[in-house]
Amino acid sequence: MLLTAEQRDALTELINIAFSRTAAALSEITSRRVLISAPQLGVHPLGELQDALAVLIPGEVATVHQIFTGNIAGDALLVLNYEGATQLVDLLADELSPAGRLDPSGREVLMEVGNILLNACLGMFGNVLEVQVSFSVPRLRLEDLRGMLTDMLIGGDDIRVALVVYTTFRLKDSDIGGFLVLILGVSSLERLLAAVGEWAARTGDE
Amino acid sequence: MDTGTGMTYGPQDFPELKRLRRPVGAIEDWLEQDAAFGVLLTDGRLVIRYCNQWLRRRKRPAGGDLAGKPLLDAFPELRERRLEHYYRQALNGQLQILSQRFHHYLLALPADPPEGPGALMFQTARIYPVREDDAIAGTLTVLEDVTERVRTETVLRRKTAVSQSMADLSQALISTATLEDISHLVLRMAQELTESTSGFTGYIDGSTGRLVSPTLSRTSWDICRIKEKTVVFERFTGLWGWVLNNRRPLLANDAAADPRSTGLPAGHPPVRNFLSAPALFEDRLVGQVAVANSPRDYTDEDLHLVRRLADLYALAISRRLMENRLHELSITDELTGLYNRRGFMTLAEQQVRIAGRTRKGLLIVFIDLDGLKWINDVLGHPEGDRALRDTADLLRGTFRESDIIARVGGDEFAVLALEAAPAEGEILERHLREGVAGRNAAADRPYRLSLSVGTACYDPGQPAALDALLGQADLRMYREKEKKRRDAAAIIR
Repeated sequence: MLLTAEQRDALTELINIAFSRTAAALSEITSRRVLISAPQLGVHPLGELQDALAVLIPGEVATVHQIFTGNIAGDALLVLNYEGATQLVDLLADELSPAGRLDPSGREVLMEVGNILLNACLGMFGNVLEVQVSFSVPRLRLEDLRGMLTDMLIGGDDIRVALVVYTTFRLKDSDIGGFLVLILGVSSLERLLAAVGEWAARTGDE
Repeated sequence: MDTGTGMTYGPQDFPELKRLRRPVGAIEDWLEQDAAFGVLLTDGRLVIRYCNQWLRRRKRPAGGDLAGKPLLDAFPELRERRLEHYYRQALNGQLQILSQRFHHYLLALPADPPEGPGALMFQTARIYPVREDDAIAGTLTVLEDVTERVRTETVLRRKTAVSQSMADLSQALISTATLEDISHLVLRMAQELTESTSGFTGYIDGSTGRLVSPTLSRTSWDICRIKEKTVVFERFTGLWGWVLNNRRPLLANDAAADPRSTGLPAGHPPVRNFLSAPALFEDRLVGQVAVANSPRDYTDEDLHLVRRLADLYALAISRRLMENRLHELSITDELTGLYNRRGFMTLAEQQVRIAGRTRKGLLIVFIDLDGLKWINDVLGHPEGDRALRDTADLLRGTFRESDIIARVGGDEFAVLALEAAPAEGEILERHLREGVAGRNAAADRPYRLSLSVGTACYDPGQPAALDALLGQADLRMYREKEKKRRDAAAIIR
């Protein structure tokens, strides 16, 4: 499924607003300048997502996974490769993870960061759709991406698609790349796109 | 359930399960009495509706039953630390996760067991929105005490950092890093691992016995009004001097009050605490590692660490000093202490190239010690060696320290006089002859010292190669020697 240029622009703008709120929250709690950008956005059928992401994030990944329900429903993921996740945590917490592995405190940091980011994005969609979107408790998953996506492929009758946002965290002269992935049924995505279109028209009129 | 004993159990075997008529109540009882975490429930106006025994017992000042009290009154630290907005967001339907790494704690509860007076518990917290009838009716906070885990992680992180530092340093030891680089590396590691804001490393110059420190910062130079980049200490005083004089490590958490302290020089920044170890190689003092001004007290573990760093630093110093010595040996003549042929050619070629670029004159002087064979054969080799050393002393006395003076063969010497005009050749030859005459006037040798001298000038207007210049000087020296032989033969006839 392809997005029109207008849909892509409006979605990118919305996500960037959510990201700037996340960056502000992270800057506040870490007392250092954090920037998050969303330079690219794409939509993939879920079946193709594995291959698309496996090329970009080979090996071990660290994922914060949250299920959301409401007028739009699906799975929200912040996906980082393990090394990038460790680096992000080290930079934010200003400490070195022992032997480059995430210790329990490091995992909590990642959970907090993922929760803020996913809350901001899903909250933004909820606002645009003018409905309450409910979130599950986020889970941190440290496993092979393929295994995790296979779990999501199974179950759900609706054809599912993935909205993939290429995400860059920038702090202390370092760039750490990752992905925000929203996995939605086609009907949820259509509702979202329609609402985003209305939002764009509304804000454009203002 | 197969228990591994061949017997299988089922629910029928646990009659007490059948008696469980209020399962939710049982969980409530457990949450109240046995849960190893804090639970706090508020309504939508953030008035506390319930908090469990775990939390009530730890609350300071003790607040009894907190139910009915506004959350921000019962826990004013939430407002003081600007954390109440997490509750507002939870009331907005968003789960909040607060990790200890960023927040240390949500509610100010004493650490258990206390690490020090006033130490607070490390916590991770989750604030859940509580829904009733599709609306958010309040919040549920779950607090976990992670103090013990944080302490374990801190120890692990520190041990990893120490291992990494030691590995890095070991790598540097076998690399081509200079002693200056290694001195900086050792100091950086010592400061990082002991959280010290200042310090220095230094090595003992084997020839002078002085402490050479390449790591004292520019601020220190300015404060101590030291102009040189590398600071050299002749006298070992104060706490750091005690370490060197006694060859023992020292830990002083109240540096000013320590009886071994001799006070600080005027303008020296204050030293709160101090930790240092001597670098010893095979019981020989070769250097020192010192750190100061950690915001916390130094521990025995810090002392052990600095001693390990000092041991590795001692290895690095010994190796580099040995390399320098080997290098010196390879370019110097052991008998006279002058450069040997290799040393002369290496340094002289470099100077000829520099003279070509800077267009400055040079003078090459070739000198032969006359009659060395006769001295060796008739008076013995020790006397011949003495004649060579006398010649070397004479050359050192005649030429400048910056000139390159070498023994280039058995009885042959060469000098490259820097920035010298052609006219100076004759002056230098005259000085040399005067020196020889002075030496012989002492009449303390069973022979008279005699030198044949030839000079060649390097003219920057007509650059010539070093070999050609040496050839010219050698030829002139040879002519002088021949003339001496002819004169001596004429006298004998």
